[in-house]
Amino acid sequence: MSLKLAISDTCFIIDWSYYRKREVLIELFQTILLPEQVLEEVEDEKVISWISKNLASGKMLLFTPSPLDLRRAEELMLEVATRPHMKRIEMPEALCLVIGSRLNAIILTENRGALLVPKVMKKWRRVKVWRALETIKEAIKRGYIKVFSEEDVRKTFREYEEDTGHIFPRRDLIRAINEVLSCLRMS
Amino acid sequence: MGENGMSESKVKEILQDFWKAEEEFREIRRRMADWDFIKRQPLRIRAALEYYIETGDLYVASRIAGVTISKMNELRRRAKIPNVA
Repeated sequence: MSLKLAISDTCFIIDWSYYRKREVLIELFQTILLPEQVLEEVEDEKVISWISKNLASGKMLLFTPSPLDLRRAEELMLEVATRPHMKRIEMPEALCLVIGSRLNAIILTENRGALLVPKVMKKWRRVKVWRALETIKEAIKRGYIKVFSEEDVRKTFREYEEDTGHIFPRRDLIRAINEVLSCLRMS
Repeated sequence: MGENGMSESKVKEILQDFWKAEEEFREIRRRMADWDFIKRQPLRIRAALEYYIETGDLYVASRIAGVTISKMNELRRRAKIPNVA
């Protein structure tokens, strides 16, 4: 069964659009929210046409942040900026965290500052932040990407790296591969 | 206990690991970047690509360059800088 809601920031959706298995994202979630600002930042034809198609079919939904969302995002951004040893986040990631938290949606981002927030800030502990790594891992575990061998699993992650100019941190990648193999009883 | 219900030492460990990884990722971006391409770019684009190499932050890099995130991502790829995350 697909997950209910996700909200994506611009960097994630642009990179993901180049992935040969990009349709998996549409199968994995019932609805993907895109903050309105995302459209202003996209000019690549391949990305625009994919987003437009999914907006038309209702799989993606353009989301206009409320004034309260904007205020809370600003507060979060400033709170993170004033804490020692935190990596700063900017408005787009802060907005995704605020809206994702409010709607119980999974936040799709590659921003490392946003990844850190639920790990060390109590108020945000329940928020789920996924990178492409976690997204692909869940897609394999839930059967949206078919794999038949350990090599298939490795290849799936490798394809994303090749298509998008991305490098998954080796330690995280090994952990993800092992989790998938264990889940699918391939290890 | 820290504010998130974890011990302060656990939070400290998470932050230490995080910043150690940040340094590793920065090194990967520096090493793989096409510096000849970067040096040939106009000032704002060059500054933005160098900022991206140092931080991995595409949004701020795009604001420095004065282009959309989409265009900045294209420049990142042309400069052979990986998105390490």
